[in-house]
Amino acid sequence: MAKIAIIDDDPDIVEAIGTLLELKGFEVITASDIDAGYDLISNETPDLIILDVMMQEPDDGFYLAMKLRKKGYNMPIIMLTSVAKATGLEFGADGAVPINEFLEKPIQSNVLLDMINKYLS
Amino acid sequence: MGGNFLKLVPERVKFDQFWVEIRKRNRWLILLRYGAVILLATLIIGILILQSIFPNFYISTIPLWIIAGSILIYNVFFHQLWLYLSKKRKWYLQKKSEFIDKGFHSLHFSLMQICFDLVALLLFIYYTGGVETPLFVFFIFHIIIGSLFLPGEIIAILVTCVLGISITGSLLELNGVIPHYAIYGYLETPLYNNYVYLIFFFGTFGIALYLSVYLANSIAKTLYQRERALTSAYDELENAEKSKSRYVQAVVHDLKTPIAATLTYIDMILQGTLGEVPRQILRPIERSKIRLSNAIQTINDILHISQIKLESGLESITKVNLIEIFDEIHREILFLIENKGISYSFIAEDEEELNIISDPKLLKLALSNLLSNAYKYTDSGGKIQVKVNETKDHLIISVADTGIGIPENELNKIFNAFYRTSISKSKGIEGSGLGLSMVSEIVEKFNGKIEVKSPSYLSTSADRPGTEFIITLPKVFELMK
Repeated sequence: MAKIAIIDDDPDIVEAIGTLLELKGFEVITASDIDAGYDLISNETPDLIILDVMMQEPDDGFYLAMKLRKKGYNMPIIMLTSVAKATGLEFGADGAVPINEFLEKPIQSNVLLDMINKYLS
Repeated sequence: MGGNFLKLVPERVKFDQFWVEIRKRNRWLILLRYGAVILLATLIIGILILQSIFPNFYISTIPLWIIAGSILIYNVFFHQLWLYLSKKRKWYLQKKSEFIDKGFHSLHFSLMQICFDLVALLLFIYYTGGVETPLFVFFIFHIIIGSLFLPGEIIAILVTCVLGISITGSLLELNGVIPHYAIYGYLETPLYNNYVYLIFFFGTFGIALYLSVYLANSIAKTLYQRERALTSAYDELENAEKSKSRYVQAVVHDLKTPIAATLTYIDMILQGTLGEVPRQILRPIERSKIRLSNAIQTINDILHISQIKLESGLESITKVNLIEIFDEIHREILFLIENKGISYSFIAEDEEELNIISDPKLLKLALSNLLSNAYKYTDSGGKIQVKVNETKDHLIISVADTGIGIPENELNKIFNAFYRTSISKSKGIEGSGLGLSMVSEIVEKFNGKIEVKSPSYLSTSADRPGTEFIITLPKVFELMK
């Protein structure tokens, strides 16, 4: 059973995605800020991370992603964002930001599940 | 032109800031004159000391004491007049009527002050040697000050009078019609009876005076014009801000419409109007309702803020009894506070009436925001206390609670629009982050200031430090500050 970490400061997003993934048979672990998120990942090494861009600071998600890659964690990261070009970066998995996919809120269940299956199969 | 000339209002400065400046300068002139009296007294004492050191040196000091005393007396009168005029202005302001440009106004007051000073200086000069005294230089100083207040034409007339009186006086002294008060032991040979010296002296003195009037006046004119350009640039900015507000209102209103429609459906589902809702679906739908309701709240806050920016404020300014406003707010949220088990107290020096000239709607909006924040962030068993203190010109309103408080490093950010403290987010307390930005916007509009303290003075435990907001508002809101 694959383990997925959800890191977002919006409890409803965590709960909604968590419920969805648990219904699909995934093991779900959660955190609501980048420090707790980093501890969670280093302790539990999930198979995939769903990470929000804007938490306490507007670029918290990027910061955590960079830190994880630097520390050698290579699991796929799906980044959630409310505004596709919020920080002025051209979003995309082009190597500028070390993540695998961007997904814009609101999240459609089937799109998220397809993405997860693509990386976990 | 003639009518305007008599009114003393220069064509270039028919905007509000001008009057504010003139009032300030009148006061400045009065304070300066107190200093001048002290300076004169020192000068006379200095003369007396010099007289005791140099036996040859002598000036009759009695007239000088009389002049200095008279200056002091008329300055006390001016001071009282200034206080009376500013009280009168406040009274007109409270009655919401025009107070500028009618009858005796600030510019007449300036002219009166300058005339009195010129007469005092003429007398002082006469009793310290007439054309022989170095004190003539002080005329230039007076003329420059006068040019900052009054139109060039008026000052030119004053200069002509000063010159006329000085020349006439000197001629009368020269011909022995009036006595000459010499400074003994200062000049080897007297100058007052020397025609060539008089011609040279009044020639250069006259040119210097008229040049000063011209230069000081043209500088003052340029400064006023620049100030006026700034004022009109400010007006343009304000208009741009207003059209932005209207745009925001339109956009936000369009956002609100679909959310409101969705909420209507959600309410129908939750109330079972469309049939029974399975239990496992209830929670997501309830959460949706809460989130959408918060979005509506945010939208309403934005609409409020744009409205504040649109309203100029002047037409709704009136006498407001702060106690009544607090009573109204308290009535509105009393059941919430009681339900949560929070104790509420109100302390004021006068618990019946605390008047302030302000906009009641905006004031209530600001204060109710602070109180509902206090309610929102305080747990049951907590305390909320409102205190109002009065100073001569200000009301100081404090709203304190024993709530979750604000981390020290976030205190300076809480008035930013959309900012929410880490602690309120982590506790899952909903909010738009717009309330305090709205409060500070309103307080700023009334030329007041807002401060925040956390922990508050009510706090008794470290994990409930509480917050205190302190608003200082001028009792009379003046648009022209």
